[in-house]
Formats: sequence, structure tokens, C-alpha cells
Amino acid sequence: MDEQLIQPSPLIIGYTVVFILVSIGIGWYANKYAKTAEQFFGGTKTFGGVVIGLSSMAAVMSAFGFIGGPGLVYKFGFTSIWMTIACGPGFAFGYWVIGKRMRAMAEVTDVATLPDIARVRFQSQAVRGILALGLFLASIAYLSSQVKGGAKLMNQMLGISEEWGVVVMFGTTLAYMLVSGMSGSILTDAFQGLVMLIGVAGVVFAFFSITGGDFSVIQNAPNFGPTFVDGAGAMPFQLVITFSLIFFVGVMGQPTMLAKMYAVRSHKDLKLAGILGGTTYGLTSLVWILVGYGALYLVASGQAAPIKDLDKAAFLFVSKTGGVMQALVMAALLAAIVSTASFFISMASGCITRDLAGSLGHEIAHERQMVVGRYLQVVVTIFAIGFGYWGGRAVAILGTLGWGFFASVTIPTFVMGLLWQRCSREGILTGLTFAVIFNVLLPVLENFQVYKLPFPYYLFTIGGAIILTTIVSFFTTGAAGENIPKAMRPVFKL
Amino acid sequence: MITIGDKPRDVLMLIAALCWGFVIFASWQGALTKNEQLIYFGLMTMPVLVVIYLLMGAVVNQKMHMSVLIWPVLLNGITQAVAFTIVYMTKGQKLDFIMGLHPGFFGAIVFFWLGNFLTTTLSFWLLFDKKAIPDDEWDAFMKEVSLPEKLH
Repeated sequence: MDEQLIQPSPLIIGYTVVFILVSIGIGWYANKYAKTAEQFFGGTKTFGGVVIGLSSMAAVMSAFGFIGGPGLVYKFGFTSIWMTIACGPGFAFGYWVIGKRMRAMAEVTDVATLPDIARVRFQSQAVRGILALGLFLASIAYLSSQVKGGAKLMNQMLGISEEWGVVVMFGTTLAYMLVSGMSGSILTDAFQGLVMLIGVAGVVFAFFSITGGDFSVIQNAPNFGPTFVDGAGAMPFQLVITFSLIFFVGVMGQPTMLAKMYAVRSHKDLKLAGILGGTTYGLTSLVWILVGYGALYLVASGQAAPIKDLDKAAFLFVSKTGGVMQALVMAALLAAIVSTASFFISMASGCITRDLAGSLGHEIAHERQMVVGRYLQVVVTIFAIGFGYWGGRAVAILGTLGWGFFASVTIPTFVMGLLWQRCSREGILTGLTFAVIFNVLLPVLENFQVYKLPFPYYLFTIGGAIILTTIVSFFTTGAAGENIPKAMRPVFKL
Repeated sequence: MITIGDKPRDVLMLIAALCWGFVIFASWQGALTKNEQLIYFGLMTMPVLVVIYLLMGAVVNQKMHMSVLIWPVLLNGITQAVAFTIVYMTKGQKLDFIMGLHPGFFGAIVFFWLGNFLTTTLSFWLLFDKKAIPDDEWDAFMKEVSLPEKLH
């Protein structure tokens, strides 16, 4: 068991239990919205803008933002903050660019998963299959990366072992996901988003109470200095390009947001979903920024000893707050993990049930999809937990698949595919194949110390996939231009 | 109103691909040669990319309102360019604080974070339903796609 920075109090334990019970209750209630395969796997055309906005924020802001992010701020200053300050306004940017066309696709075809849209746009089972495989792999990787963070959090919150922490956390998630699938995920995410916002208020109050907002202490401390308080931070400068670009443009490539664009009940709900998702995400960014700088301040001012485990930076800061604040903030951390995990459990099971099987010529009967999907949710969860705990080196390699991987397969498919009629099936197949291969190959080469790019490899895979898709599309015509199905053409007029 | 038809989209997609290529080049070569000015130019490519995607997405029937072109499209690019320039110019320097913040930190937060919110998000609130998805256009779309059988 790790060093106990937070002492589990009746307040923390009580608030956590209430959080868990309410989440399960909402998830069960959401069963009434999960009567068809489209609603079970996609929540398609079901929810209003407030629910979609809050749930988008909760699903996008993961454990990394609340635990990993502050750790990076503690170690490197501002550099990693570019990710989070790019992401918030990136929501509305994404809705401006493809929001209405994604929603429009739900009127053109029966949409339950993202590969459903890709199959119809490019009239290709191969596109559907490769995209589903990519999304499934990255979902498992994303879930696995949540396992250890969640285990540490439950250990700090409840004082239980990490193994029991995983059982409680994922058991809670499965308890409602099995009943209501993606519809349950969306509705509980909205509640968990509110819990996160309450935690943000606690963080802001605690930060100014502890630091007085004085950053000069960090600039003047001998172990830190100006690079810890400027706008570039202590990481190599080229990372600012990757973080600002991939986390601003790349938001619209995240399934946690893309899939919500067709889950809104009406096109009128897009507006509120985009505004609320972005602004509330912007508020949760304050946790990343203030908790990180709060931990830096504590060490720079000599109020706390330096820490080696960066994941402890968040707990160090929270440990200096009062009992109520600790309960609010720790529950917000738990909400961030559970909300992201539930989305990816649903997406991974949907990718196998509907898309991987279908692309191989074995469409599962529509009425059986929900039953199969429920079994696969359990399999996916157990697999992700096992992989997260015992995957060893493979976890270190695949654990980096996530944000960048998603953007590298979805930006060509959906952004280029829905904005550009000339984008061809051959172009997408080339881009997707490149993205899947290099997103696995490059981290393997890095991990075995064969070759490492001087910037995050996903900038290369996203840019490469877009460039290849563009070039090949100029010379091919499959499902492009005049070959786009007639029924799809109205989407391009919107 | 400006028209962004199929041919201009071909050109915009080509420019976007070139921009992505340059961003990779600037990150790679800039890091290897420790040329921070090249990295800065790579950063300045991002506003161009953002403007390109907005030009293709924030339209109705291939037409963009002039108000949308100015705000959010062009202003979004400008605020990002200002933020990157301030961050680059003040990087690693011990300077007097502005409102309790290092000038680079201030530039990133005010021009990039708040600036992007004031361009993309506020404009989305005020303009999206009127200029990008007006009801009559959506109704016309729904009439066109009201098929007895959905596309598979």
C-alpha cells in the first residue's frame, strides 16, 4: 500500500458511498432510455443539451487531468497546461466544424457507434472494421491506464487495498452499465460532471487560501525559477506545438465528444451541448492548473518536502486542505475516473458487438445485440483490469494510446470525410492503416529504445494520416464526389 | 457572404495537409537543431489550420456569413497567434509580473485560453443556430432525407 497522504474520514467515506449509490440509481433509471441497440450502444437522439454538455465534459476530463496533470505541472511548470487550456475552447471549435453534420448522420442512417457512420459514408466494411479495431484497442488502453490511478485513489480515499479499490470502482460502473449501456453512461456522467464541478469550487477556494495566489515564491525559489512560471514551462519547447494543436483541434476527434454529437435529441440541442461542455471543461481545467501550482507552491515555500512520485502531487495539495474540501475534491477525482471508464466500456463492447463482427460478415441480429453487448461489457472490463495490472511492458507501450490515437483515426474519417466530398474510401483506408500501424509501432520502438521522435509520436501519426488521406483522395474516387450515395448528399449541403 | 464550394475545399484541404507537414517538420528539425525560432513558426501554423477547418465547417450550404468569417474564424486565428508570440518572446526570462502572473503565463491564459473562449465558444453561443444551422436549412435537410428506408 502507498504512503497514506489522505486520512480516510467518515466524511470522505460517507460522501463516496452516497456518490456510488446515486450513480447506480441514475444508471438503473437510465434503463428507460436504453430500449434499442442504438440507444444502448450510442444513446442516439435521446438526450438534451444540458445532459450531453455535462457528460461530454465528464468523459473527456479523466484521471489524467485530475491526477497526472497536476503532477506534470509540479515537475515541469506550464508545458502540460497547454493540453487543458486548448481542450476547453476546443469543444465549441469542434461543434462549429462538424457538430451539425455528425448529428445529421443520425437522420441518414441508424447510428449506434462511430464505425456505423464511417461504413455509410465510405460504403466500406473494411473502413468500418479497421476503425472499430482501432477504437477497441485504444479503449482498452485507456481503460487500463485508469486502473492504477483509480486503485491509488480508492486506497487514499477509503484506506482499502488497491485490489479492493479496483473491485469497488469497476464493480460500481458495471452495476449500471449492464443495465443501461451508453444511455446509462451519459446520464450518470452528467451527474458525475456536477460532482466534479463542486470539487472545482473546493479547489479554487483551497488554492487561494493556501497560496494567496502568489507565484513569485516559485519564481524566486532556488530549485525552481522562471521556467516554472512562464508560458512555456520546463519541457522542450516543441511540446507546446503538440499539446496546443492536438488538444485544440484533437478534441473533435475524441469519441467522448464525437459520439455525443449524435446523442442529442434535436439539432437545437447542439448549441447548449457545445457551450456547456466547453465552459464546464474549462472550469475543471482549474484543477489541473491550481492543484499543480498549489503543490509547487507548498514545496517552493518549504511547507512540504519535495515528492518523487508525480501522481502524489494532487494528493499532497489535497492533504493540506480541510476535511470537507478533501471529501469534495476526492469525490471529484473518483467521478473523473468513473465517468471516463463507463464511456469506454460501452464503446469497446459496441465496437465488437456491432462493428468488428459485422465487418467480417457476421452481423449479429439486431435484437440480440444488447444481450451480447452486456456479456462483452463484463469481458472488456475484466480484460482491461487484468491488462492494467499484469500487462507489464505492454501496458507501458499501449498505455500511451489514447487521445492521439483517437484523433489519428477519427479526424480523417469524420472531419475530412464529412467536410470534403472528395475524401475517398481509398484515402481513408490508407490513412487509417497508417495510423493503426504507426500508433503501435512507434511506442514499441520508443519502449525498446530503438528510436524516439523528439516530440510525442501521435503528432506524427495524426499529421501523417491526414496527409496520406489527402494525397490518395486526390487520385481516387471510391465513395467520393459523384460516387457518394445520393441519400448522403444533403449532409454536405448543411 | 463568401462561397466555399468544392474547388476551394480541395485547395483548403491541400493547404491543411501542407500545414500538418510543416508542423511535423518544425517540431522535428527544430528539436534536433535546437532552433526555437523554427518551433515558433511551427506554432504559428496552428492558427492557420484552425482557420482552415472553421472555413470548411462554419458554413451553410457552402456559404459563410461575413460576421462568422470575422468572428470566430479570423479572430480565433489572431488571438492564438498573439498568445504564441508572447509566450515565445518571454520564455524562460525573469520578468516583472502582470496581475500576479509571469507575462508568458499571462499571455497564454488571457490570449489563448480566454481568447479562444471569447472567439469559439461565445460566438458559438451567439451565432451558431442563426448563422450555421438555421431552422429552415435543417427543415429542408429533413425533407430531403425523410426516406422510407434508411441508408445502410
